Amino acid sequence: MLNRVAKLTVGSKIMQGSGDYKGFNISFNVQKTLLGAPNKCEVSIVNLSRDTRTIVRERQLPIKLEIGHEDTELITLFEGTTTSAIPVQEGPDVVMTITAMDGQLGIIYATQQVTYDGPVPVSTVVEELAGTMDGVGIGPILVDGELKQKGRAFSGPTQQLLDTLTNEYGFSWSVQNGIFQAISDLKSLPQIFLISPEVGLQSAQPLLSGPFMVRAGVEIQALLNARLNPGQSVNLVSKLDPTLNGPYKIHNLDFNGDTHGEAWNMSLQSFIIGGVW
Amino acid sequence: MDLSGSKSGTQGDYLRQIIDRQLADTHTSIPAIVESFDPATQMIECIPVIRARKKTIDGVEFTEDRPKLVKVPLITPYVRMLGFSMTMPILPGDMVLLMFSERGLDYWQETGEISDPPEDKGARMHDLTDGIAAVGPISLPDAILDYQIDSMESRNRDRTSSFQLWEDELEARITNGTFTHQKANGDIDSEAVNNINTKVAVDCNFDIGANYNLVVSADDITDISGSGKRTTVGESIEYGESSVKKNADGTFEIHSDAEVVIKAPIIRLCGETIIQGNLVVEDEATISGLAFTPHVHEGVTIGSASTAIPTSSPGPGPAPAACPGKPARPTKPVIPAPVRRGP
Repeated sequence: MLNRVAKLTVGSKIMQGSGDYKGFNISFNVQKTLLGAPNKCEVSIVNLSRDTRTIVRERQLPIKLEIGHEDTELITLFEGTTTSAIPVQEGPDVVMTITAMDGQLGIIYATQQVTYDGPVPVSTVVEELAGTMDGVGIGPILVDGELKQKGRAFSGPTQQLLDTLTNEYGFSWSVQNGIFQAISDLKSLPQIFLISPEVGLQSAQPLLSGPFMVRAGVEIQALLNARLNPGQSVNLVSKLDPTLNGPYKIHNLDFNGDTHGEAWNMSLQSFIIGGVW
Repeated sequence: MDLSGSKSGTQGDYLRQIIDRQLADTHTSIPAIVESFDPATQMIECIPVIRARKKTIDGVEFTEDRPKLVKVPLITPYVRMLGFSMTMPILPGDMVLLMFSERGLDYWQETGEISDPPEDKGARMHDLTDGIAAVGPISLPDAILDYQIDSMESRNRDRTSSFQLWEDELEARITNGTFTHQKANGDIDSEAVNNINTKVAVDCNFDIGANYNLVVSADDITDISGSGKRTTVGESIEYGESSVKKNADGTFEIHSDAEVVIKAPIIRLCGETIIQGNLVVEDEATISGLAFTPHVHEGVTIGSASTAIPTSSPGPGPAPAACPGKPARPTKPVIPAPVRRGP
């Protein structure tokens, strides 16, 4: 078994832990979604020094969590800003729990007042709306359609305006590690990842939807792969239930890891591209 | 909207935040100021007059203008089937009240008919895009001066021109300028049960209907300057007890209980003249060129025989001018006056 590594950067402080009990004991839970809400990260670190605890408790520090294995390149699992850092005494240890969100400030505080006088491509509108989010870069915008001849007026929180457009034009938007993306319901990002028993598939079960309980997608448990992000696709190969096999678009990801414990896995909800969900 | 967690964070607070956010995005009605108006399409561009309240990441509150709304259809009294409408001149700076449709107006605005919603999925509801503008919201600085509370009125700002309707009265008034009241064919039709009191400079035909009377009570009628004929079609013109009357059989009467005096150097009666009363000639009379007084008859005899025609007179009178349409009668040669002899 390869030696797990987690590296946490909070402001100017860098903390690293590994499965051989070197460095800090770092555990984390990262939740990512395709559906227009900030991704969340909760990291616990045991026995930081008093000075470091003081530093990481400052508000809205940039935070970056990279994970991997010893002697391999670390992959960024989460990037955002801290929202809180709370130390708790657990027996002889002090456990500092840091929570953070991805693009939170930009998503929450961005507003827009703009009018389009005619049939502008929706991708242009989405890009300009995303541009109002402070601290958020612009990534892929795979959105079809254009505004009608009458044009459109937008006034209000950017998040809300984007949500309105997602309903009308059939796409999802999100911020992944500080980068805005918008993806049509009929499309996915080009990356496709194989998930099979050989590469960490633990279980897969169908996600049913609607009054007739139609299979809309699949919920997968697998070993943690930090390269996965919402909007990408997975190709599921299940030997236990081959009826589930096929490509799915990742909507929600839930990563759990602990450098000194058992957890090092992920749960993902993925849906059939263009299906009903 | 503050979602930074400053509230207590109970379920109720969270629910309230969600409701507030939805309400903030549910547009209902707001005044707006006109930026431009297209009279051909009757669409306006306008900016809502209440700014949006915002907050920076640092928690500093500020406000900013809402976006300009474009292609906003107008509400004005209008019925499309018969085409009646009441229009207003709309200029930049005018106020309108925006009402926001509960669904997208795109296709209705293009077709005027029952239409599909514009979006492919979901439903655009109470969106800022779907405003309809009605002219006329009034702020305090723009309050109408001298607002009439007992009548309906169309008027200009200083009320020098107005069209005012009471329960039992209608008044159109132009203090400075021209009042034009005209049918498509150029006629003016007016009808009154009692009086039409008019003080106007009339530059047109002024016809009074066949069943109505025209009573002119002006002290003087002085300015009838047309060069054409004056035609009276009615039966009579009355002057107190006297009258000038045309009868049904075409005869024409001048009637007076006292005297009819006709004064002129020459009074000519063209046509057979019948005098049913006494004829008194107070001066010389000439009949067919012969002086009636004095004159001479020849061949005067005793008995019932007739005299000869008069043969002499003091001289012929002036040759009469011709009546219209008749050649002048030649002057007869002078015949010696007859000598009247006693019986």
